[in-house]
Amino acid sequence: MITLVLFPVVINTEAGLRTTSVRLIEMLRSFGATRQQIFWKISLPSAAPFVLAGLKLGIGRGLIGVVVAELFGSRAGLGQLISQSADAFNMPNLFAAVVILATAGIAMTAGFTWLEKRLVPWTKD
Amino acid sequence: MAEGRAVAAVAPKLSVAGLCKSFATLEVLSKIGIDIADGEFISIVGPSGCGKTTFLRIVAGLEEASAGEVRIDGNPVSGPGIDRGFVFQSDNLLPWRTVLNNALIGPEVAGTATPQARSRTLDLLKLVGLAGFEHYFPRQLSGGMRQRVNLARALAVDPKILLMDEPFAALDAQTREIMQTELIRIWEQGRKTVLFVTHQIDEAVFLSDRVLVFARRPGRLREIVNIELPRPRALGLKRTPEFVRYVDHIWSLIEEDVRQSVLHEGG
Repeated sequence: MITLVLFPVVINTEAGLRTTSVRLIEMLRSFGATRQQIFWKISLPSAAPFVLAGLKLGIGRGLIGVVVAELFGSRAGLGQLISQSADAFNMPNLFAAVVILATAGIAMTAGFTWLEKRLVPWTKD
Repeated sequence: MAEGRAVAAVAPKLSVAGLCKSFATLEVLSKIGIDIADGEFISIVGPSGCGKTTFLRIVAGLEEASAGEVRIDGNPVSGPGIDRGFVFQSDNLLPWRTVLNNALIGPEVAGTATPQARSRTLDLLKLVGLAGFEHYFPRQLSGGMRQRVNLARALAVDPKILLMDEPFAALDAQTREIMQTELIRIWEQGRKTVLFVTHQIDEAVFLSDRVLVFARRPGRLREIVNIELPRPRALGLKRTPEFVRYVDHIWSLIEEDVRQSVLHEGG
């Protein structure tokens, strides 16, 4: 579970920090900036879009992880509802669970897109 | 078209002596020496690969010299500092900051982002023609406007020397002409010492008191051309015979070098 969510976030954050523009760093260095100032004023903000993209990936994977785990041996949750309803040929319940799941996935992704627009507007348009 | 003397009459603001730079075995700059007086506008022209940008970066403290030294008001330069303001070729604005906060980053780094610095920076933005755009983001500005922010950012630390690395190279020809007159207008307000690197010979002649002509392989000072054209200067000056004579003279100095670099190294 942790590995499913954590890895995309960590890998993307690392990539984000790595792609920090050399030219921006040089600009700050021309004013005599310290390494710490470069990190807080340049590296971290330029990695922000990558962190968010990682979280977006992570959330989708997290949702899948939870449901798959519930499909196999769980006493509650949507996954369990799906497998139980399938076993009992209870189609209304089965579809209700699937629709809820899909809606949750779409809502979370949309929420993150909204968050991206608010937090890192310079990556859009 | 007298050859300029390398020694200024009064104590120089910027003094460069015996400056050499090599990258591994490649000699990029060889024994550059020049004294520059307070308030002088100096341009550096030369073919690609003559080390003019490297020279500017060494003065800025972004690059270390292999030999020789740079002194500002008699004190040796050992690294970057806010006594110099660097205007980059690409504007290097932070996309997540507004125009004002971009321009304020120098004082911020130096720990002098006081309310006074803020109001001074607002005045500077007015001076460079960006009044009303203080709270815009870089992506909402044109290339010319972004370069104005670039200039205001360098001026915001009130540097003794302004170092400009082909700041108008990425602009279209018309915008560039306007920016040249704008730069002169702004410079006339404070008359800071300026070192201006450019490929455009006419730009160098138009702006400068003296033009340093560099030669390549290794990069060295070929000639210092005193530009004795009256100030304030307007764009019409570019069509006068005196102006054209200066441009022709400088072009004749670097033509062979440019030909070599274009024909044998693909530019």
